[in-house]
Amino acid sequence: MDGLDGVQRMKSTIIKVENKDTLRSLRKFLGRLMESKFVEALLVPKLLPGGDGFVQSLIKDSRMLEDANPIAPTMAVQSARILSELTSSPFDGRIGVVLKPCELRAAVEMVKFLQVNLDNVVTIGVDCPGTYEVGDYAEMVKKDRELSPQAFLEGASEGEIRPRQGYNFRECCQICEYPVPLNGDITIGLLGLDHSKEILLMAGGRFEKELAQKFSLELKEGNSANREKVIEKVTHKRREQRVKVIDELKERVNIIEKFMQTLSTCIRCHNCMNVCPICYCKECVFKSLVFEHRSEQFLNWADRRGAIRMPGDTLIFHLTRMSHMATSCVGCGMCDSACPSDLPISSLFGLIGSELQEMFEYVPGRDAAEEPPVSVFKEDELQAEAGSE
Amino acid sequence: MSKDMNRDVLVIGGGIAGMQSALLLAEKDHRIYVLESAPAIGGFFPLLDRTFPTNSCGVCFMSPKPPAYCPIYESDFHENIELLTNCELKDLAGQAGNFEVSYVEKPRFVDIEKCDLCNRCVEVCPVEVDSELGAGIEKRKAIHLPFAQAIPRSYVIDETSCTKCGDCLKVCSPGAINLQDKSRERKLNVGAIVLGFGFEPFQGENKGEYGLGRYKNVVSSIQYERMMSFSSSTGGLPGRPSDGKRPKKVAFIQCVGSRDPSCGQGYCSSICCMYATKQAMVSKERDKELEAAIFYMDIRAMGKDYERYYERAKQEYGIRYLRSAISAVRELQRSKCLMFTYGLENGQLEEEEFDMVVLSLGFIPPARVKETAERLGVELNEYNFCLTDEFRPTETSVPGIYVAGAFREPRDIPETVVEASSAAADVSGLLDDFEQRAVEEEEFFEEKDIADEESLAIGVFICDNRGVLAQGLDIEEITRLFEQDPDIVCVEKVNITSLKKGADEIKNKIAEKELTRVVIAGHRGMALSKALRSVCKAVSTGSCLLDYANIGEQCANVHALDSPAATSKAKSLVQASLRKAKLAVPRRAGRKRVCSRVLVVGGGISGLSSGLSLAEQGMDVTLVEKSDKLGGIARTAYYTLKGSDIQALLRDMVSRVEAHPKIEVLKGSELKALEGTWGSYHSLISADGEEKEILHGAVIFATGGREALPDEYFFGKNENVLTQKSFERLLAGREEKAAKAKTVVMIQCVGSRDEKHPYCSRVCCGQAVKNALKLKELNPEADVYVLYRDMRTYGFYEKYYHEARGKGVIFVRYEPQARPEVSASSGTLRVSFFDSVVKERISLEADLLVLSSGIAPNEDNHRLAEIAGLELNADGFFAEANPKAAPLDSVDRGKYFCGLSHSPNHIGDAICQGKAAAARASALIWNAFQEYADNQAYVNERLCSGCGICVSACPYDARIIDEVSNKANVLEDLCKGCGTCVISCPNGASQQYDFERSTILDILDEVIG
Repeated sequence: MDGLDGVQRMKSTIIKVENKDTLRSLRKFLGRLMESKFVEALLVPKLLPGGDGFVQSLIKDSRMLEDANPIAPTMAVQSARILSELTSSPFDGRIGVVLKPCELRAAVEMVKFLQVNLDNVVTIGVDCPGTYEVGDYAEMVKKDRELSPQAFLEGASEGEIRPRQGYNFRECCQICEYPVPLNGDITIGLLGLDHSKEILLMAGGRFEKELAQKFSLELKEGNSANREKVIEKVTHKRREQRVKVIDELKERVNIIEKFMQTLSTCIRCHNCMNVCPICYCKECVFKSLVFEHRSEQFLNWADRRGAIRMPGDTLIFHLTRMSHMATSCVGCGMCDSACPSDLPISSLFGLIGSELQEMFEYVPGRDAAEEPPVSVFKEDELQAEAGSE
Repeated sequence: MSKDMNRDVLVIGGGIAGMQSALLLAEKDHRIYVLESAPAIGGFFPLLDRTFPTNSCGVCFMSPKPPAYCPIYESDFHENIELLTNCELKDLAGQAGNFEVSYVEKPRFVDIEKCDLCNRCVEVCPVEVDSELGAGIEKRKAIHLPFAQAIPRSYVIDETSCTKCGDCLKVCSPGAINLQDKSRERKLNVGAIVLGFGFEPFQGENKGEYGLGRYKNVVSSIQYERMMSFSSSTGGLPGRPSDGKRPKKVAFIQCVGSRDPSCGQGYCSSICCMYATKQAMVSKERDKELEAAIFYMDIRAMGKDYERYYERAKQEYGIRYLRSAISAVRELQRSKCLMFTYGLENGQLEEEEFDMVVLSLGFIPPARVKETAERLGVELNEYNFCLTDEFRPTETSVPGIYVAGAFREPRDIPETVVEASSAAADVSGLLDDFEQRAVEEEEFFEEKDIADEESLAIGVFICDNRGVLAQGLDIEEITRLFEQDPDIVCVEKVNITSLKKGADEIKNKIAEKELTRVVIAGHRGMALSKALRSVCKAVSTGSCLLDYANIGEQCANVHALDSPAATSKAKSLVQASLRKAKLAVPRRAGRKRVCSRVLVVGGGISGLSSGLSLAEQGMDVTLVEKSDKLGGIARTAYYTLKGSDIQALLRDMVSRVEAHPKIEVLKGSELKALEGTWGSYHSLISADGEEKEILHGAVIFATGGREALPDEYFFGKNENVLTQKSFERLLAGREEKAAKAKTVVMIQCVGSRDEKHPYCSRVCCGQAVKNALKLKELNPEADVYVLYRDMRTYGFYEKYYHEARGKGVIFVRYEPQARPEVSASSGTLRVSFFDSVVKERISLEADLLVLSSGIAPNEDNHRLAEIAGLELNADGFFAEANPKAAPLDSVDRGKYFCGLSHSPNHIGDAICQGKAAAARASALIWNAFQEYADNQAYVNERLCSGCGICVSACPYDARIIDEVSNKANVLEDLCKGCGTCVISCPNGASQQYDFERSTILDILDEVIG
């Protein structure tokens, strides 16, 4: 489990599930966190009034937890972006934040770029079996009004998670190697457990003692062997799928003409950038004056080359974005979900990002103390001598 | 104090030492003449492709000035430095303050101004000889460019080999060659002279047994260095001279012409161990399969961070180090491989074959040094190096003449730079009076206000050199580009017959047409734009409004066979330049007022020496000493290895410091806080319970070190176990305990070169030899054993090591894994150790056991580093910005360190470092104002996300995040305009004046369409 090397050593305990209602037990635990004032407020996905989707909600009144779903099978917004807004200036009290593993990794990544401040935040990472496109989920609900959110955990105990009703997980989830949170203050474990009976609660680091005392938890060292095995099984399967997807993509972009062809349908809507948790610039350079060309300039270009593609600056946009953040990309796939032209942006970033990340021995979101490659220079990195063969 | 002397300075020798002295003094408005007998400056510097202990390229340094970039270019560009290359000293008259120097300018036979560097003369020249830097493996013609980047960049004919056949004359279209050129005698008046004669390699052929010159695959270290250079014909991969094949096994033989009285070389050349290590490491980096073995007597890795370097070579690179003197090398007839016998640790002999053998040549003084010294009246020592007093290391026997670098003693680059700085301090002490300096209070240059200009007035100048450009380019086609542009006021063709004339012509046009932007297209980027930038300043245009397009080398020359392509490229380059000139915004570089006081922290030898040097130049000094007495660790040192009296030196220095009206001494005081940046610091000193604030422009840390105290060998438990320092005190007082001791055993490297202290303390070997000799002097009957790992009596100290052996001091080597053992039953000390010569374990009773415990950094360094924003190296000494270019400087250019707080050193070195730090500090504060760097970075706050990447990326700590606004700020005085922040900023919030992203994109647009 290479990528998981950085997993923080946590202590754990088992929460018993009453009446096989996993969701209710989870809500109860979250409610206790609020009622005991361990956190002042809670950010957690909540069911939409129409019942066909979820949205992150900042809850101050614990009664509002009624529709909360910490295991929501969709990800409408990447919560790292919300955290960035939420923690942009100092505030009193603590906020608990329920995050999927990729959201947590993005948040940790943003800490490094001073865009998220976790000082007053308790991160609660939840195992993620995979998410559906928002539209797919809405249709699933339409077809089956009785669909229980808990049903999405089926197979999690033995690592045989299958998509439901002929719908598939979002592509990035199918190739995600991080189904469990790397480093939350609290982790809610579901993989490898019979969720109708029990949930694993893990705590580590700064809140471990406080949690244990306040909730009289008996935190113990070590992880269950079965859970380890199941995690390994899931990641192994997904890694295989990842290699397949990436290899296929490589074929599609291995020469410059093919690469340009692949990106040729881009309509420069900038959606990928707007939803990306890593693209943190207040104002992207591509929306700035630098790329507001004069009319005369367009005509000049057209004159020189005979014809130019409009809108322009699409290739340079993707390449620049890639050069800025491929080392920090957590593979959440929000860009794919947002692309109206179905461009394989996420896997393209996966292809380039994983090579870059390997080159710098860097795992985005692993540890807030780990410096991003763009800001450090190590004398022995990328050894190649100028002028040598 | 009025110093009525000539302030001009002559530096003889344009190597590293000479250039460093020149650059520092030039900052203080001295007119500097650099006299160099070679046709180009640089000395051995251009030979070095990689330098130790970082294996980084040695040719340019990106570090704060001085020197900012490359000392060779800096010297060429400095307006106060005049290079007199190809010149020889003839005579000297006068005295300190007023010397009259006569020198001979040797015929160059090529007119620098006329020559267009077309290289045709070289192509036709029939005479081929060994090239100077080619180290016998590369040839050059009689007419030649000394080396690719030579400064001055000019051909020269070497008179001795030239046959005067005249072939070159026929092909030289500018008529730059004059075979009748004669030498000219010239005179100069200067106030002081610095000698930086440098060194020559020992003639390896004189050690005939190694076969240099007879066996093809035996090469000298100089030849090997050249072979490793990317600019040599090997492309950086040495091949065997016999067949060109890449060697698989290379042997390095050390001490060829060093530590060898049999060939008149009694001293150690000090740097060969390290350069051989570097050569072996770099060879391995280039060819992983290569096996390298170094045959040595003692590895002398006593410089800062060198011991770690040596350990890395052994452990990470797998270089074999074999302690064995080699008696002779044989060549195998067929393979031309080389074979020799060496002794193993167990005493057995081993024979081994190598593909190549590199002889690590020692250093000797340059040829004819005796004549030159005689002309100057400068005394030489027994080895023909410059004679100096131990405590006045950079003064020669003639007042007003100073010395630096390898001509004083063989030494490495950092020491040379330090010494050259120290020599500059001596010159300043003689000639400078801070209070008399010229201060420009008002505007530093007049600048026409064109910020509100309504239209541009651009002048385009196509600078051709007698039609050379026109031969390769269609100039008419290029000029047609400008016809339609309403902003272009004039397009002129300038015939550059000489830089000065050309520059004058352009200058007149700028004034006449009231130009606000200038585009120059032509040859020789650097030289021409340098001349023209000053022109533009002179006509009030401001330097940023000129742009230069190199359509010479980059177009006409490289595409000489394809004129249409060359013309088309030239057109886009000129257009790009034009675009840039149009986009340029008039801007004046900022500057700051520099506070003149210098704070010296620490009143030991190096601090005293800094303080005195500054005060002698008329600068105000505050000297802070923690204890209630000046003198530091030297207060408990009595005599040096060379026999000088340390207490007498100290008394003299302390009384001079305490009596000096320019020095404020604060004893019992401590630095509590330091804020600000170079030129303006604000410090808080606690003195006798009171706090005192000091404003100063620079700060020198001379906070010293301490004797490391052993925690083994019964130290502190048995009264007969001493450190070298306490033994020295006993000997100095002729106390019975020492003088009557019959058997004294010394153990070296106790607490040095081990896991806890992986550095070498440098001084202990000398200390041991010193104390052993002293004891032998007091009591010739005493038995003295020195148990050592490598005897590091480098340089001229070697003589004393030799003397000690001669007087019967017994030196026994031990391995770190078999350290000497000591028992102390009923108070009797018994030392046992393995002697590899007699192959026996020896046990003897010692009256005294003396431990060479080395030097440890002061624990206070951590606190000081914290409050002063300094870095410490892994061993806890202050870390320099760059070991070569800025050996005593922090990254913020106003903080310096010297003495034991920098690294373990002998007293002479501490004095030198103290003065050198003073010279570097005073060069900074000499001018009342210092300008900021050009092309600084700035932040577009609207775009800034406050992510802090620029803060971590900036190598000069010139970035901070404003806590209130959450935006990045640029600290203008620290920003060097390197552009790292610009590249790291994702959305272009960080920009650089004149290189804005939009400007670059527009320029690219012009070039690639």
